[in-house]
Amino acid sequence: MTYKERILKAARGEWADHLPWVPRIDLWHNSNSMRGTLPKPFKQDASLDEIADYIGGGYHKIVPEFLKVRSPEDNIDRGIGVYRLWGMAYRPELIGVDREVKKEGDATLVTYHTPIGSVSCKYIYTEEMKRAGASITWITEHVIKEPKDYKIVGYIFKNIKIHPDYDNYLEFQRKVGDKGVAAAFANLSASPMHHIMKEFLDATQFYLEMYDHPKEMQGLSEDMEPYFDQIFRVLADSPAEVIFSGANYDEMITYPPFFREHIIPHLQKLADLLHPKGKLLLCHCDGENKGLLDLIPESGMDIAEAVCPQPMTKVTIREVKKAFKGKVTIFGGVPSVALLEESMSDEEFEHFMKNLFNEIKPGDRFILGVSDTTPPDAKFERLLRITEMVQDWGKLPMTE
Amino acid sequence: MLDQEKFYTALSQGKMDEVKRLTQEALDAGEPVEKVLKEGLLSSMDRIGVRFKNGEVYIPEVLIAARAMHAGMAVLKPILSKSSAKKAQKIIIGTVKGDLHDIGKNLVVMMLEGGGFEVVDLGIDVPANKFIEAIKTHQPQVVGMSALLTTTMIEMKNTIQAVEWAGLRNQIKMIVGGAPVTNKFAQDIGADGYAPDAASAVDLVRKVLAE
Ligand code: B12
Repeated sequence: MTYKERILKAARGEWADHLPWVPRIDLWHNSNSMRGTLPKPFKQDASLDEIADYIGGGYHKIVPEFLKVRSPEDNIDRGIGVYRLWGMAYRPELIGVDREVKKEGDATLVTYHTPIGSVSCKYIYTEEMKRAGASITWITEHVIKEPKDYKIVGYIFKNIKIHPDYDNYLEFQRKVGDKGVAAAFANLSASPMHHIMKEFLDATQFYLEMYDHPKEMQGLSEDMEPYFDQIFRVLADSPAEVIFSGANYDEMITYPPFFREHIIPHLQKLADLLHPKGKLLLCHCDGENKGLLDLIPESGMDIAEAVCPQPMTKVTIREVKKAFKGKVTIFGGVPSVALLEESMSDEEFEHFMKNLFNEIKPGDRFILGVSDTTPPDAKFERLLRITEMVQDWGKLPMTE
Repeated sequence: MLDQEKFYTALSQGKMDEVKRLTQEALDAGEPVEKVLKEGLLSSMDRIGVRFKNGEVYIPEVLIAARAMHAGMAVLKPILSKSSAKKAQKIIIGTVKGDLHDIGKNLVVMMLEGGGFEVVDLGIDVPANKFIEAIKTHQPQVVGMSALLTTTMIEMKNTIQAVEWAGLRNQIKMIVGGAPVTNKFAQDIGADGYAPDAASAVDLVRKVLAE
């Protein structure tokens, strides 16, 4: 069975021959190649896939490469959470909006002029962020500053046209080949409200605004529906098998009533479009899942990626499996701290992994991965050791 | 008369004007300012903190309550600063260098303010020297550091050392928090305390100040 087949089988709740092991190493790779600290035997210009081949797992092609764009101009709308990345299956076009762009050192300031008024935002990407391996830009000035901005941002989104860009995606899919599943990226947010929370306001301010300007917020959320609908439809018709929609759910940030009201309906809507076409819905669930465990299987999500257990969160894999009731595939399981020498000694790591394999047993609906990603200072040998463990213990169904 | 239930209801619904009015009314009725602070505002906020810890209310409720509490505090402040009562104790807090995660830290700030402390928020990506400068400027009793990345946790240790070298360590308590931080880590790096969540952070500050 190829890696791709294994992953898809696990994702569909069928038995693969062997437990799929798909470590995410992109941030580790970014950071160590930047610092010139890639371990032996790699040359300092070794590519991500070369290293993944050496580790011997599948390719983790789920979270998009946020730094990879076909031209720098494609970065321009990051401050409003709108992406044009290499490998995406759609391309957004802003209509009826004039952008004014100013560079100030590491910062990019974008002003959007619309017929009903202007809004602006600022984002940064610094050398230091690069060295730390971070791949996402940071919004330092959010687009919503006053109540009147809701309508203007609504105008921008109401007028975005989503074009299919399947050739772009197919290039990505071809490059991944049968070593992994190339997930088609929808958004970092699962729904308009989630988008407003993640991109348009300071995280803390968002909750106060929910209380202070609920009508404005609701209006904006409605204005953004067509944007999400178009993306959902274009992706449902795309050549992708797996669609990525929504990231960083967390029992605190997207607390249960918020998740129920503002996230689940959109996940269900997307899942209903995908499932008849045999496609699967994946979400990046890297936060504290404890309070959301019972809600996730109701959402239509097929794969919960980056599920991170104790000691980094409050949940164990056993608890997650029990709550998911065989309806959702867990992708993850190895918390990133397990790869750090300062957090776990070699013996502790061995013990931790043995226990994890026990919890994974019999291995249905499971894709082993690092949650959410291999940290820059990871002990590389531990990734190789996990490959060995998977070879020794990962034959499905796992028994003894 | 000071009706605690009324304070609690107004606070938990985030009604700033209502909290201000209740605070003023209590003062006008001759209640001592410390009593209005403790039994009106602080005890209500504590109740909300406990409910938050128990998962009965969520971030928005805590934030609006903390903000309403501020509104009440604004009424009391001019009187408190004149009265002989002890001045509010001061805390400076920030997310350490290289780290941009601030939701947890902001929550801790709000809860501490709700607990009656004066908080100076240094924001995110705060290097050791900025902590030191702020200690000199603001003369706090407690310094709080937040980190969410395993790569930036080490900055907490660096900051504690830098504060020591600057000769300021003895005059302050240093506490730490953030998802990857543990009690053991806090001890290892020589911090004075660790708390796993925002409500416990308030208890922690009270505890280290009592030591
Ligand atoms: C939301 C989030 C983000 C948001 C941050 C938005 C913001 N404004 O803060 C975004 C998307 C921007 C982001 C970016 C990144 N993130 Co992030 N993120 C998270 C996530 C999902 C939730 C964090 C959070 O806010 N939780 C909710 C709050 C309320 O909880 P809290 O922060 O723990 O705070 C509570 C307590 O810890 C405590 N507390 C906090 N501070 C303090 C301080 C004191 C003094 C005290 C006493 C207590 C205390 O009280 C708080 C309230 O109860 C976590 C997952 C997780 N398990 O934590 C990952 C996580 C922290 N992120 C991670 C990563 C890898 C990144 C990136 C590197 C990703 C990238 N591709 O670039 C960047 C780094 C950017 C940077 N340089 O900082 C990893 C870190 C791995 C590691 N151990 O190093 C995590 C753990 C995900 C994972 N499962 O692996 N992230």
